[in-house]
Formats: sequence, C-alpha cells, structure tokens
Amino acid sequence: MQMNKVLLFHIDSCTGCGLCESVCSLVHTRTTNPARSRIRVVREEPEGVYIPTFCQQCEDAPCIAACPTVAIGRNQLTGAIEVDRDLCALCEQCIEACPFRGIYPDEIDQVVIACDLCGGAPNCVLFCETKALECLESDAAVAQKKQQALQDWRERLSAVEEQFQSATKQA
Amino acid sequence: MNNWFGWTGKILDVDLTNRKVDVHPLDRAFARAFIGGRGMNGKRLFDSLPFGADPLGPENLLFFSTGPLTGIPGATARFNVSFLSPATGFFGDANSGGHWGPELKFAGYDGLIIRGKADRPVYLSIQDDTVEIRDASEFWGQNVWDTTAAIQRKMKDPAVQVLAIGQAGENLARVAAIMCSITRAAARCGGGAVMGSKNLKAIVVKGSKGVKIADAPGMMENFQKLYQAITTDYKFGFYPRYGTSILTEGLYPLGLLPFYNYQHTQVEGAVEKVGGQTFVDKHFTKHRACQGCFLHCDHHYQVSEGKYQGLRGQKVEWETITAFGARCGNLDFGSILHMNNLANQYGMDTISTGGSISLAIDLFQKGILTTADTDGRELRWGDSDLLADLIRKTAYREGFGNLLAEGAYWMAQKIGRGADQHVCHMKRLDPSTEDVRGFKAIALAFHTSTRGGDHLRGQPPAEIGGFRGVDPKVMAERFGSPDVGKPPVYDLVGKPRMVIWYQNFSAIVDSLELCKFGTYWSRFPVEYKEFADLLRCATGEEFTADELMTAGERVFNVEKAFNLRQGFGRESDLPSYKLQHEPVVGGPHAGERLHLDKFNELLDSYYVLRGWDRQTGRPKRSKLEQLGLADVADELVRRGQIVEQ
Repeated sequence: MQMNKVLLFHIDSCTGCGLCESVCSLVHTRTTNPARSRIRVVREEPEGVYIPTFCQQCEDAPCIAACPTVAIGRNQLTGAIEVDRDLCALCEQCIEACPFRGIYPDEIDQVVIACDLCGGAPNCVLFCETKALECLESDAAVAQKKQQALQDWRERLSAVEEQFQSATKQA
Repeated sequence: MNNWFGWTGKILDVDLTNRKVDVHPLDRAFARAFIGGRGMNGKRLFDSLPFGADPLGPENLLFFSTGPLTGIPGATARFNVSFLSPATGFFGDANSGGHWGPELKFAGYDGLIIRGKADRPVYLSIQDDTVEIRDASEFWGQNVWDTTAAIQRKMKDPAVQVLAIGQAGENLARVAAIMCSITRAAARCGGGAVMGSKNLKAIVVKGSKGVKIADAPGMMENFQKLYQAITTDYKFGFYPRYGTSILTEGLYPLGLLPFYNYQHTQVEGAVEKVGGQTFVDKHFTKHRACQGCFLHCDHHYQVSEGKYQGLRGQKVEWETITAFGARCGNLDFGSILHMNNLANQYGMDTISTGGSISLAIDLFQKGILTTADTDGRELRWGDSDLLADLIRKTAYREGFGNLLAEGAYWMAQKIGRGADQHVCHMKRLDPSTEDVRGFKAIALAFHTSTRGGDHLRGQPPAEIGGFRGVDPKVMAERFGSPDVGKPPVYDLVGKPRMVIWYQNFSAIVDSLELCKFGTYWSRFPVEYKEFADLLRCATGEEFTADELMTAGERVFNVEKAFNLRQGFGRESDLPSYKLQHEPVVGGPHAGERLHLDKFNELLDSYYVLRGWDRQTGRPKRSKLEQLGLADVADELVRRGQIVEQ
C-alpha cells in the first residue's frame, strides 16, 4: 500500500538546531552539509520562528508531472518520491512546481534531491529531541493533522518571507 | 578534491592592511598535534605574534578556528578565537556556539586568520571560494542586532551567518565581545576590541561545501550511542528546560554565588527571585539551539512583569543573571533580561561588564569613588536603572563609562587610592561568577587558567558535588586522594592532579570544538574514548585516548609558554589581595579565604605535577620535548623563561 508513512512537523516545537539537516546529509552524502540535506530549516531571528521544509509525498505530485525526463517517480514500497539520478538533468522544473519547497538541487551531485523517508524509518526523526518531527502511520486522523500543519506552514513561511522582503525593500 | 575528512584542510588568511586574501593548506602533522580550535589557534598565535605587540595595534592577530568535530551531529557548533588580550595583556581567547562556526566550515575553511588593520570600517564576506573585504561604513556605529539584520538585507539572504562587534568593540572597550547568531558571544578577554582596532565590523559566512566524513555509518552509530547516553541521563532534562539559569538553585546553597562584589553569599529571596525556576515560569517563551545540538540550552524569553514587561530576547546565561544580578545587588529579573539584551546589542562580555560595575558600586559605597568620579551619579546596590545606564556608558566609553570600559583590574589601577584591594581577578581577568575562596581546587583552576579566571578552563565539577552527581569514591580513585570532594581542604595530592586533569580535558574539548555541556565535564559519559571514536569516524585518523590526553596537555603548555614569554610568571598565578584577605561572609564556607602560604604549597604541587619548575612555574625542557614542543622550548630559551635540563 502506498503512503503508509507520513512525516509530520510541529513548527512551535522546532528549536532551529538543524540536527535533521546534519543527519540527513550525513546518511545520504557522507558529508555534513545542510546545503545537501533533503530537509531544510528556515530560521527567522530574532523572532525565533523555525520552519522545516521537506517533501510532503503528495498523492498527486506536481514534481512528477513537471519532470520532462521522467526522472521522478514513486517508490511502490514506501510511497516516497524518488529521483532517478541518471535521468535527472537538473532542469529544476520540479523545484518550481513543488508547492512545499520539498525538492532541492544538489549542486555537487548535479541532481535534484527529495526526502526518501530513509526507506521507512527517517533518521531525522530519531534525533529530533523536541519531537518537532514525527513519523506516523498514515490514517484519516494523521492526514487531517498533516493538512493543518501544512496550512500553518504556508502562513508562517509566507509571513516570514514577506517581512524580510519588505524590510529589504525599505533598506 | 582534497583528501581531508573531518578537517576541511584549508585556512583562510586575510590581510586587512594590504587587502589581500590567501588560502593556505592545513598541515597534517600540525592537525594531529593541535587538533583544531583552541589548540591550533594557540600555537599559531605563539608562533606568529610579534614580540612586544600592542593588543590594540595592527600587529595583533585574530585566529578563528573550528575543530575537526565542528558541524558533525551533536553539541559541536563551536569555534574558538585567539589573540593577545587587550583586557589582560595575557593569552586571550574566547569560544562561542551558535551557527557561525559550522557555517565557516561548511564554506570550506577550518580556520581564518585576520592580520593588520583596514584603513576604514570593513566587513569580510565569505561565500565558499568568494572572499571579499567590503565597505562597512554604513554599519559602523550600529549595534550587533541591527548590523546583523542590515547585512542580511543587503545580501538579500536571511540565512547568511553574521559575526559582528557592537559599539563596545568599536570604542575599544576592554570588555567588548565578539558576537554571532545575534546573541551568542565569544566574550572573554576583550576580542571585540581587537576587531574594533582593526576596523573590522563583521565577518559574514555562507557555505555550501559541507564537511566530508571518513566513516559516515560509523559516525551515525557513534552519534546514536552518544545521543542515547546523554538523553536518557537524569541530568539531561536540566539543559533544555532551564539552560544554565538553574545554577542559581544549584550553586547558591553551596555558597558559590557572590553578592555585592564578593561581600556576601547569602541574600534572602535570591533563589526565588532570580532562579532558573522563576525564569522558566515567568519569562521563558520558546526553545532555541546551536547548530545541530539536541541539548538546546538556549531560550527565547519575554519579560512578563515589571518595568520591562513585554521585552523580548534570547539566550540568558547564569553568568549574565549573576553579573547584572547578584553581583550588583539586583534581584529584578526583568531588568537583568533588559541588560542582557543591552550587552548583546552593544557586544559586551557580561561577566567583565558586571565585574566593572559591581566594583564601581563597591568603591563608591566605601568612599573611594565619589560623585566627582561618576558624572554626579550616586552608585547604589540594586539600582537597575543605574546599571542599565552604566552598561550603555561603558559601551560608548562615555563619561564615567570610559573608566568602566577598562575592566575591573585596570579601572582599579587607574583609580588608585587602594581600589586594587577590592578587585577580584585572576591574571587581570574578572572571573566568572563563582566565589572560589571556599573551594581550593576551583581556586587553583581559576588562578592557573591560561586566559585568566574562568570556569570553562578546567574548573573541576568534582569539587562542587551536589546535584551534579559526583561520586567521591570514583574521584578519590581517579585523583589519588579522598579529599578532592572537600571544598575547603588544601589537598596537595589530589586537587592539583584533578585540576590538571580537567584543564587538559577542557583544552582538548575546546580543540575538538565540542560543547563541554555534552561531555564528562557536565557528568555525561563522553570522554577521551568517545572523542577518539568520533575523531576516527570524522577524520579517518586513529587517535588513542592517551594521545588525546597528551594533546590537551600540549595545548595547555603552549598557552603557558605564551604567558611566560609575555613576562608573566608565578606571581600571575597568585590570588589577588581581596581573595587573600577578605573572608567569605555567610553560607557554608563563611570565614574562608585563600591563605597565601597554603595556596603557594598548592601551586608548588601543581607545578611539579605539570612537569614545570617548582619555584618559577617555568616548564622544563624535558617536559616540552616530551610534548613535541622543542620549538617552543627554543623560543623560551631566547626569552630566558625555561628551565634547561
């Protein structure tokens, strides 16, 4: 069955430490490098708003539709979005299509990267001390929680970015 | 591609006078010997600083270094900065967490050397291989928070990491800190003034290269073990919940918290008013963390009552709560948080700033200072409006603040009239808040610390005991004396040994660039073996626990040699007049002081155990050669500061 695991986040619990980024990049690239992580933390200081962004494993995934080289598909076992490294041309059309900023370029490997749920047991969740990240079995209640979290995510992130942009313009 | 793992293998070298940027390769033998951070910086400073340099002259150097473990998962977000201290004239260094250190490493550099002096205000921008010295005249005069925001706006990127000085550094206050991540500070020893003297307002970093890890699966396995061990320990909960603010509850009953410039240790209601529980119940709003750290001891706060109700800020340390609180007789938490914000904005070492101000109030109360000295202000204990105003004046060196900005030791020298009898200092540095008079091992650690009085340079928690869960039996076994856990005892066998052990331990932790809170220093089971495992996985280099212990000793000996070369010998390890002659008032150690004769015996024993000359504290050549420091020995010969054997 697809979509059996859901990675959920709680913005107010996030400390902004970015341990998820370190662990993700370490597991996937043998480097610690937030710029190659499949989860990224947007930090807004001094307000202290910390917002993780990562692939939401959309059922009807815009990235798959946008990819001209058919490099993006879905792992039938875990339900996670998968990128075929050989087919990806790093055209970044998937990045533009993604409404959740869940897909990133990896400039070093010259491919796009997205959360693969570490095969079903995400390492980032293991070390999230405040449980800002949770990995849950998908059911109706979890799906609803996720929708709420995404709504919250959208509002908070655009608020943070609008504030920075207007401050930049003023300056 | 280079073949470095853990380390990035590159050092950035910036000459501000000639506006020249260079990159040097890291030498592998040097990396193995000095590890990183504090160790590498100290040796480079020893090797490169011209003899007779002025701390605030262009010839002083600033060495920023990360360590081989900076940026790996865990409590590893730290960097070290070393320089000739304008606060003391001794070896100067400071260490900070936040996000700047890891970002420097992600940009591809283990370290950064700053030389010379820019002809006008500049900031340094490092974005991977693109390094530029840019005009900073529009930011000069602005505080740390405004500078950070303005630079991020200018670079159109809120994620660039900004390290900056505030007005205190610009005005060469000897209590000025180097700030990063808005409220994290490499505070001690006046590094902010060194940056100010070089017209260097900020160093901005954005990195995308990351750190290569030699054995990634091994690193994950070791990190998981360490994470389990720490987060399941009963002491773990204190860090996220309270941070260091809980130390008021822990240290007050032990008589370690001094009030009114070390004149009292017991003040009714202090724990209730300015304790960690009060901070959490009344002012805490949200957790915050350094890069990659699951201990997240940092907090956002909002003052919930009183004059500063609604005021928001981040990261208040116990040292700050006591510096602007107990030591100045102020028990209004809201005002302390306000002053924390001021110090973070102006870019100041809260410990030394509080030290200057508490000394000034003490001297005023004793009649040594009068309104003729203080711009007409009466200096009274616990006057929070006065304290806030004095912080501002110190940052700007305005009026009486010009004197406060010198730091407690120099201030007393300038005042004369017996003022120096009331200063508590070690190597001219105002110590972190701990009344050491009742605790002879801690006193020894503070006095022999190479950067001056400081808890992070080898204070042995074993002497404090209490809620930190020290097992006296384990300590007795380790250090060869049952008396190491008895604070007032001048134990010549165990205590010097214990202090040396913790000093070398601190030196290696500061060189790996781990946070001490995630190690055995905080009673977690993370020691030399765990360091060696992490190092092997990160760098691919094998180290034994013994090699790392020796590396810690090596780092410490270089710093000692630096101080000897500056002309500071045994006398600089002795207690100030105040600590010798003024007994503790109240609390479990009432009546205690540091008796010069007994302290000297302690020092003799410490020197001998260190392999130094019992009389002078100068290292013996045999010791330095054993540590692979023959070049340091040769330099000390030239300065007449060694005992040949």
